[in-house]
Amino acid sequence: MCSNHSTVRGLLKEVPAGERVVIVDTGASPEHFTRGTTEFIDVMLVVAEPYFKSLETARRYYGFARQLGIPKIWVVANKVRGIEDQAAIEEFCRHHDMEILAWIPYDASLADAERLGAAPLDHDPASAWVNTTSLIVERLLEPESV
Amino acid sequence: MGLNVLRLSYLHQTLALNLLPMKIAVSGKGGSGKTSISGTLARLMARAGREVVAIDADVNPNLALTLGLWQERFDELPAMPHGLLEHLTVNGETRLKLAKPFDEVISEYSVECPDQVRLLLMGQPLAGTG
Repeated sequence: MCSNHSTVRGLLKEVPAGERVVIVDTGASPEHFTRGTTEFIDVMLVVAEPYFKSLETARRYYGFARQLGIPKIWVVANKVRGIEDQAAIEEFCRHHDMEILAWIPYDASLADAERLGAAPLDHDPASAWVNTTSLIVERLLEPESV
Repeated sequence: MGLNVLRLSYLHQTLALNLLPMKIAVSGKGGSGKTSISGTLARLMARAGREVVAIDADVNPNLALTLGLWQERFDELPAMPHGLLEHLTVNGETRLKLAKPFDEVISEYSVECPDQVRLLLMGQPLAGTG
């Protein structure tokens, strides 16, 4: 019954050496932690929005990732609308010892892309949302980042 | 000068051989933007020159959309089948192991998306099977 998760886990365990990047989009439920699907991950990005329920979920997932022994765990703050949002996330993360990798602003063009069922990158490649997401790529590809 | 060039290319090769893959997972509450971020990261990593494999491990798969695959092609997306793992017993200890090499799994079950990202879908549960 758990073979779908085991297959992904087995695949991640056996990624061959080389300059490859594997990106796993997980389900919203914590199943991928509890079943060890993401055990062999190097970098766990925990996406959090500036409201309590989202931050609370992020805190739990951050903890699961620590328990699995994932070497690098970062919060990515998403849909940030201003200084109050930023302060709320910063305060929460400081309090729970969670490291923040990037701030992605709320961007109407992303909502448009979602409504149209388009890839954000194709819908508006010059949007603030895409620009800040590309900063994450730069950070992750820095030689000493991971 | 020739020697330096040679040394440099040797160094590059050594580094290339020792390079480790980078395995990234994106998690968070439903609606937080995981899938938009995963898909966009995958394509931007590919544009930065990396060979990228994107795995949709959500039972409600939507990663194809944010990767920019044409919606007309969604029905032909192959999910990874059951039975890709086999039991391997070493010294009396049984472990699960991939039945095929990683690259073979990619070439057989992935779909090519824009920027040459390869998309793999986790197998889906069937209705009524729990």
